[in-house]
Amino acid sequence: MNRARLLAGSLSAAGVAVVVVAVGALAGGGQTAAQPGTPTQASVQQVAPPGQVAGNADTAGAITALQQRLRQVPKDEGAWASLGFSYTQQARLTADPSYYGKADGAFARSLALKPQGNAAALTGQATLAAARHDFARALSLTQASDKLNAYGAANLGVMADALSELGRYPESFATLQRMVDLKPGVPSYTRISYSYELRGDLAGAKFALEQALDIAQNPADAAFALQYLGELAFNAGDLATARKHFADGLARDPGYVPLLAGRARVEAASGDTAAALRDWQDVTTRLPQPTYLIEYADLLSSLGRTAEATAQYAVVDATIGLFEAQGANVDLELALYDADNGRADAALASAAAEIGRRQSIQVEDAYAWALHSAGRDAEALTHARKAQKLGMKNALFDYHRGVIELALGMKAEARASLSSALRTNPYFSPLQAPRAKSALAGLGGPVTR
Amino acid sequence: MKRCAALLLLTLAWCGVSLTLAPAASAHPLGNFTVNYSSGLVVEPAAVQVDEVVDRAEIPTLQAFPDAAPGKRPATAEAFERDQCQALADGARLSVAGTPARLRVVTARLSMLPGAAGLATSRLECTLRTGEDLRTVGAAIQYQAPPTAGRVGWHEVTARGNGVRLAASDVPAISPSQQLRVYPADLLSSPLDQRSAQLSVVAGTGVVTGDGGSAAPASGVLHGLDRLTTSYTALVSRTTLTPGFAVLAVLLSILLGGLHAFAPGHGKTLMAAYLVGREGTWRQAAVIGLSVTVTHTIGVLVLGAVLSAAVLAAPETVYPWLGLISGVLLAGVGVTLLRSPGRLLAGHEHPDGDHEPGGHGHGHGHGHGHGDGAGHEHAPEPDRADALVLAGADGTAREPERVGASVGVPPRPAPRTGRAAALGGALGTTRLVLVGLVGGLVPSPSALLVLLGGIALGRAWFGALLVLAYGIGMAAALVATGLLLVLARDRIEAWSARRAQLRATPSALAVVAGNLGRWLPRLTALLVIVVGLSLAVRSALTI
Repeated sequence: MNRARLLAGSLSAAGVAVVVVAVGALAGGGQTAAQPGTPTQASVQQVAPPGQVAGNADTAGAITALQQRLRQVPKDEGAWASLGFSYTQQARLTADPSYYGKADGAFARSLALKPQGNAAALTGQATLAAARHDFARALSLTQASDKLNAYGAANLGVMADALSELGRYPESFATLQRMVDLKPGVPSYTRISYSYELRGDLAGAKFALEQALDIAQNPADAAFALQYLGELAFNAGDLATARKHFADGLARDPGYVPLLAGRARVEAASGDTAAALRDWQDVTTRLPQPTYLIEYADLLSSLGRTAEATAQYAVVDATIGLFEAQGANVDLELALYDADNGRADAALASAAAEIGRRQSIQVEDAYAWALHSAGRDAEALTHARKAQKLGMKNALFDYHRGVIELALGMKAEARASLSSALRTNPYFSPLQAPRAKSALAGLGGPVTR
Repeated sequence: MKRCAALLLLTLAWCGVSLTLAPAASAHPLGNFTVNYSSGLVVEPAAVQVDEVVDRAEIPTLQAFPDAAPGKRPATAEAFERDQCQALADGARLSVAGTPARLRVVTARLSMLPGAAGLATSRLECTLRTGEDLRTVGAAIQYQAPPTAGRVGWHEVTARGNGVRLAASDVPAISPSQQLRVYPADLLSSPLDQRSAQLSVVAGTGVVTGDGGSAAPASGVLHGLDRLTTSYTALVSRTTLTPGFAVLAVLLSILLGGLHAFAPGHGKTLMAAYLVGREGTWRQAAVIGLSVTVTHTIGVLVLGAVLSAAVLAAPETVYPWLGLISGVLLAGVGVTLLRSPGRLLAGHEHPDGDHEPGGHGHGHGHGHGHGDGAGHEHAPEPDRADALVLAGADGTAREPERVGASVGVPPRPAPRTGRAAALGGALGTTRLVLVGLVGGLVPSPSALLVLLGGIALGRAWFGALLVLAYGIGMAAALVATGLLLVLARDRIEAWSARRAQLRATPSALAVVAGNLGRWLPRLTALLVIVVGLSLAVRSALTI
């Protein structure tokens, strides 16, 4: 779930941020914004978007207008970059990946027309690199863009995401501060919220999301903020609040898959198995991503419906094979999945490859869990502790650490860790939460704080 | 070694392509988890058939068939075909004249195709049909594609008539994806999301007026013109025929025809090139313009008659053939031009093959070419002199004094000296007519619509009249363009002639102009061949 959250988070946050840039680039023709010093934020905002872009409410309309413009003026590099951002936005809204290919082409065209000093196109390419989990490249592209235009708020957003995924948290938070100073808004508020959550400040995270919801201009933005609010509540084990947020979000944007997945989790946690299975079936039909397929299969497996679970796991395996054949980086997803399914060697190989590239707390946790599955628990504990260095309240991290401690015979520590996991979110996984409970029972029950 | 290098290049090219076109390098062009739907409606007089195609990318195929493999029929294939096609038939909403029409499954076929990473993609084809007791003529048809469970993918609806005509349609007649086989990779087009169709059916044959929205990436101007034509056609077919309206309609037809002359793709631009390269005259411009008009009008009338009579001939099947023929003809003209570039219209060699189409131009040509001006000392470059004379061919030659002996210009071999006499002569005219024929052979769809609109209303004569008016408008625009070009060229020549006269030695400009004059016809001939061949190939590809 954290994996899904992270993945969806980086993508969607980027998507929202991106529209702001698109509007700005259109307003300034891509030129104003690229001249450092000249535009203050106010002056950029005073330039009215030229008709074509009706705010981020109407991405499809903006796309049509930009396509029309580029048929008439094919050498408008600013419009190509804006079109690329609109395609990225549309990819997020519709989950249709073909828009990413088009976005890539549009940014490349913009850069071909203006190879030097094209800050917007560099940000665009960075966004796509981040979507492909190539965070190092995303970072260097955003840095290049930032050199050209230090006032690109959306660029700072992508840069903060990349830094965070690379495990460079202090720099990420500083970048985020620059972003929100430059442009307070939904994209910066949702990122601020995540930065609080990473540091275990749930109240701060909630407050930032409520601010984002407050200023949301359209149903899609609101649904986006509500989905995060719901996840925040669910991760803290607050099913009622989570259910309310997901329902509220679905009322505004009925087809938004992350909200459907959130509702499915709440239903499974509250014992409404039939509804949960129906929603998971719906989610995996709409968007058969590995993370969703794994959660669906885990639920089926926890219900003893082994044959159906096996069928879903088979789809996961094929999907991963497909992604690998296409050169996409799935190491993080793969490591946890393999470790959970008794493929220690494969898990360790993936996780080791990933931790060589980046040291985010999620990667530390996955590496720890892979080391544990290979029986290397002493090393595993080092990394499990590193996963908690920021103080994030994450039931899965706690659970992994507790199991590792138990394997090392550290019973008191294991008891504390498992208690913390179940206290944070007793519903964190349909498969693992029951295991945590039984292990804890064997250790003498939960400790009270 | 060489092969290695070639292989490497190929690999690099492939990498380049996949990187630029699809960052995720997906085998399925729309992504690995899309499910794509195409509904092809065929409206017949007594029934409606819907060809449903569902193209599942790798992951949805795996979700549907645990044993999916390329080329291997899954164990559940039969049940899947039956159930899924039935579900599509039940899910689609079709109504004819407001009455819901049930669709039943006629055929169902599943095929497993190779996809990425050794996985399969699948293609389900269902033929759905209503009962055979409908009356579609005069009815409005509404179609709503089956629901798709929120799945991401391409959705298209197409509609055409078979034995009836669709007077109005908001979807294209031809599938932009070749029924989910090829997805446009254009950066400026979004994945299609067309899930419904509204049609109105009239008696007649197979011509569809739908512009289908996003499918055809027309340029702005052209698109506007199409819209104009569509609304005009709608106007003609709806309004009752009063004398005032008839006059207005004829005038509008002339205007439309004139505008159409400037639409690309029918060899009109080529004609302009022809005239410039060929020292054309007023008269030649008129000949070409007229022959385009006559050919076009006849072509539209014949095609209209054929389409009204034959049930199965759909224009989309006829056009590529006409395009192919006209392309080949054009290339042929180009080849003959290339083989005798020196003889403008090949007059000398066939002095007696003339007169068929009224023997244009003889008198004038003879009258002037050599008659006047011999006494004057200065001359422009000799090739050009004839044209100048011809330009004033009506007896009031504008610059006769310039023609004749030259002082400064060294005599060059002048293969065209006798040309004026032959200009407009027999073969020349034939060739001109041929060029006109090529230009007019592919009837403009809007003219065809105008005619068929008239026929459908039981006013075939009015339709024919409108087509004629359309042709006249076209001819007027073409001839006017040609004349403008001739005039412009005359001015330039007059100017350069004056320069030559002043200097009495060949200026660099004059020499360049002379060389250009010699090579221009050859270049034009090549251009004609290239345009002809590309037209032919393009048409052949769509057959």
